[in-house]
Amino acid sequence: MLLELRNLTKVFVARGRRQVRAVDDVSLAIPEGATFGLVGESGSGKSTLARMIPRLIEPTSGEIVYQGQNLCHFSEKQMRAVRQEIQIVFQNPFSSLNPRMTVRQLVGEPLQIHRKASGASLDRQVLSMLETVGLQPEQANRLPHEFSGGQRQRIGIARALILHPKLLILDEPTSALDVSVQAQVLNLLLDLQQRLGLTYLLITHDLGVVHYLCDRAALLYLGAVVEQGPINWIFQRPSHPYTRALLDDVPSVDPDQRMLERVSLEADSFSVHWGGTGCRFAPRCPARQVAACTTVEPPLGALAESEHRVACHLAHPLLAGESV
Amino acid sequence: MASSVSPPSSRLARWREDHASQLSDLRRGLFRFARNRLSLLGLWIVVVMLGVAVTGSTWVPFPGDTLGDVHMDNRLQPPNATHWFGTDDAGRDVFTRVIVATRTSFQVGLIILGVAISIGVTLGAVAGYVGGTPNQIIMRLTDVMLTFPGIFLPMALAAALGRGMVPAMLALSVTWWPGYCRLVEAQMLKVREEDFVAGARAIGASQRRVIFRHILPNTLTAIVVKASMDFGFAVLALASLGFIGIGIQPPEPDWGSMIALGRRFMPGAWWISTFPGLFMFVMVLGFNLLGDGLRDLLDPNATVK
Amino acid sequence: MRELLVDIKALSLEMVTLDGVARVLNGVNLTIHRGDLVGLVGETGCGKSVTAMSIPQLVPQPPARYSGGEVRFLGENVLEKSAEELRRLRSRHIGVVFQDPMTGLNPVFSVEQQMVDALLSKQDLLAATTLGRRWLPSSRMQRRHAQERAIALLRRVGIPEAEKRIHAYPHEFSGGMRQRVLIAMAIAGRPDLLIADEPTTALDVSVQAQILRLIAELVREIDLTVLLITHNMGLVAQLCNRIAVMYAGSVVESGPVRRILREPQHPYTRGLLQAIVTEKTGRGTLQGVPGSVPSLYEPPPGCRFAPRCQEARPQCTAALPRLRQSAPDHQVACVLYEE
Repeated sequence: MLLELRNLTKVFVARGRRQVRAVDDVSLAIPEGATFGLVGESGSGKSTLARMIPRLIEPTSGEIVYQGQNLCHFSEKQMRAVRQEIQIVFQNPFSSLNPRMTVRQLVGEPLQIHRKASGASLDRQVLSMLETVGLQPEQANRLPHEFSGGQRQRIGIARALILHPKLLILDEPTSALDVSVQAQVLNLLLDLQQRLGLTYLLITHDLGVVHYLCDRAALLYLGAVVEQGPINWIFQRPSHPYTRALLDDVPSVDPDQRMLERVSLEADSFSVHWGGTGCRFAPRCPARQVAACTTVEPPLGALAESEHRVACHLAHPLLAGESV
Repeated sequence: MASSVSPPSSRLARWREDHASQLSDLRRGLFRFARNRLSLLGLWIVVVMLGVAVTGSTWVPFPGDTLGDVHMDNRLQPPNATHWFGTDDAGRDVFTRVIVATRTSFQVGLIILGVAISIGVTLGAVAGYVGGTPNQIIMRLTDVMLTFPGIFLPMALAAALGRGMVPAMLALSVTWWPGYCRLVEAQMLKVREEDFVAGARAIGASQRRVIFRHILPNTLTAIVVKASMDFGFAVLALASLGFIGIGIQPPEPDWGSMIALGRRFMPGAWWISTFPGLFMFVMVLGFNLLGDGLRDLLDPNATVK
Repeated sequence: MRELLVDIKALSLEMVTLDGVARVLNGVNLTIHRGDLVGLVGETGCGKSVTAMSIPQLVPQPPARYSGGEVRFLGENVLEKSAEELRRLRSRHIGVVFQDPMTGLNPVFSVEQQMVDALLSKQDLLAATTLGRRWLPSSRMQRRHAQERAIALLRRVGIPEAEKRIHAYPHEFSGGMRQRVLIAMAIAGRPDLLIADEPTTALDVSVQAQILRLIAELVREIDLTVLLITHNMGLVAQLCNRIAVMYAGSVVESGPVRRILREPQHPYTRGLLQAIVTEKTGRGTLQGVPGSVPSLYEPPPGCRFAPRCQEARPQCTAALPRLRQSAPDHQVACVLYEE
């Protein structure tokens, strides 16, 4: 495993000392060379989770095991070395690039910081990286605002790749882009992975993108993983009511797939209150509920296919002590 | 693109090519600036004023009148061909004194703002980036400073330090920074949340680099704009100290003390107060208009408005 | 034939900016009949919002400037209407829902205050019940009456505990709930046309589905005509019966949803549909539209899509192709389908 998260938790203390468990006891493992999808809606804690991995946000508890070493025990100096290998591509290509730096400076900065290259060698590496991500060398002296969203995202990718990282965390890399441009960026990501042997952690709310890029995925709801497994299992046999609802709610381009006539989730995760006991999804759950739903928090248990795990009493009737 | 056609010959050409984007931004900014007549007027005023300040003492008709000469035979003359702005109660040429005071105003303004910005930006940057207890300490101190009504604090301080230009300057400098501290702190808090700052940390940038390379340059526009607008007010504050008699001391000319002096002879000898007042007004106006224009000029994202 | 509600003919619009003149709309043609659910799709900057907002004349002028064509609403050209006529048009005939629900709501007033004012204004009663006349018994009755209607509307759009929630401020609602409030305000006067400008872009998929369902219900219930502006073909497929595809300031293809989604003709429409990634897309097979949208300041000659089009021919750069009938009830602006 390249990266393993063990019981990772982040508690934010909001105003009035109210505690918010943004990430709640998340464990997952990403093998080298794989693409792992982290799916969730707003408020699911997926971005917090992503930023905890290179410790841009400090975890409250749990372990981040990268190549066998627990990053939580690393000093700031050791972390700087690790951050060369773990890079993030941010969601918003308009705010993720310093508006006062040229493309050359932006892409070359990581090399400068880590004293990997300077002068002509730095220049050469920057230009060749621009080519790798499909930008023209002539554009190296331009400022970010002169580029379209898709091109900026390419700059962001070039900046992330120049240190030859092993793990690339992609935080909603295409959600701010138009469809026609999204396709270009997704294909670029596939191509780069093949050529450079990268491992991706893809964070998104778009199930189509997850299916297109990922080998395995985890669905996050209110900070916790509710379903996890190989991509085919999740799409063909979604076992958590939340997963099923999300899949149902993607508006299909086929007018015959009538989405509007189906009834799915009620309300949203902000207006429905989960008291902290029982299943966190129970207040919105459209499925038939058993008593345990509101009293016992369902564990993330393995289904018949051991790699496919789901946190739902209905999927594990024996664990809940009731027949469904 | 020119590089593929002909390699840049001189260093200047290469520099221009490397900075083509910044240059075109600058051109676009200048274009926007030039489209706004008021900011052009502001620039024009400031440039003329600066010219007057730098060269004034070499061409004023009565340089001696700023050094202590008195001509009691010539007192309270209304504006005429020799004395364009008339003379004061000691027969000194008001025109000469107003012009020479421009230089003093500029010097003092620059020093006040220089000191205030250094203190304010440093404290603001620390407060904004570090947060927590240092932020609380710095910002509460700033709040306390800002609760004193305008000129009160520099006045008290200047009075305590003694009369003259240096105490006045010192008093204004050390009380002028809270505005910048507030501004920089607010800007830092805003810029700090931008993705590119998280991005810089993600590639392993040190705190120093994050602050100096990524955050501060993006707060620069706000600082420059505020400084430009503030310049006029700093001059005004200095004049206020002069007006109440604890600023620059006669015979050295100062707009504030000249207005104070002329007040005794109002409305008969109106020229003694009016001309320094007019100069001050034009200067404050000029810097304010310029500040507005600079905002348009410096914003890297303001391509379309 | 159903009544023609909106008829936009050869509408051109320029934006005068400090960087020059952007030609935002170039002869847009669009018709909406009563009862239609029209999806106006296209990428960022293609002019879809500007086109839609030209109907209630909500495009700020300047910087915008109409340089040709007309926008007829129920037969009358709105470009020639007075400010008072436009206010009436907006309050009685056209409801608008924006992408960011926060822009449509004032953060310093409670939802109740805003809805009551909006309702009274639609009846031209606002001035009569405020401005010092607030405490007259008749005003208070009117306001109480409006409040009851507001609660009923909130209930209709699915806000739980509407009589309690109505006193809350916009920031106390989630994004989806705010959008519901805006829809309630937009449908309050039973408008002829509801313009929904990317109403779900800022929302989660599950909330998006709820909002979409709500709009579909309202359409059935109060005989609403909808113009949905979106970049999401899926939304159009699910909600609309007609579609108009815009590219760089012109409608390039329009017709019934089923027909266009199944047999798209314009190469751009085809490209857009191929670029959508679904669970059926095989890995590595996704096709985008190469290149990026052209500059509106210096648009390419002829068909604006030509530089990105894989089927471009020499005549494409000669002139901007006009929107023509290529099949019954199907229009396309492309030289491939001329003659």
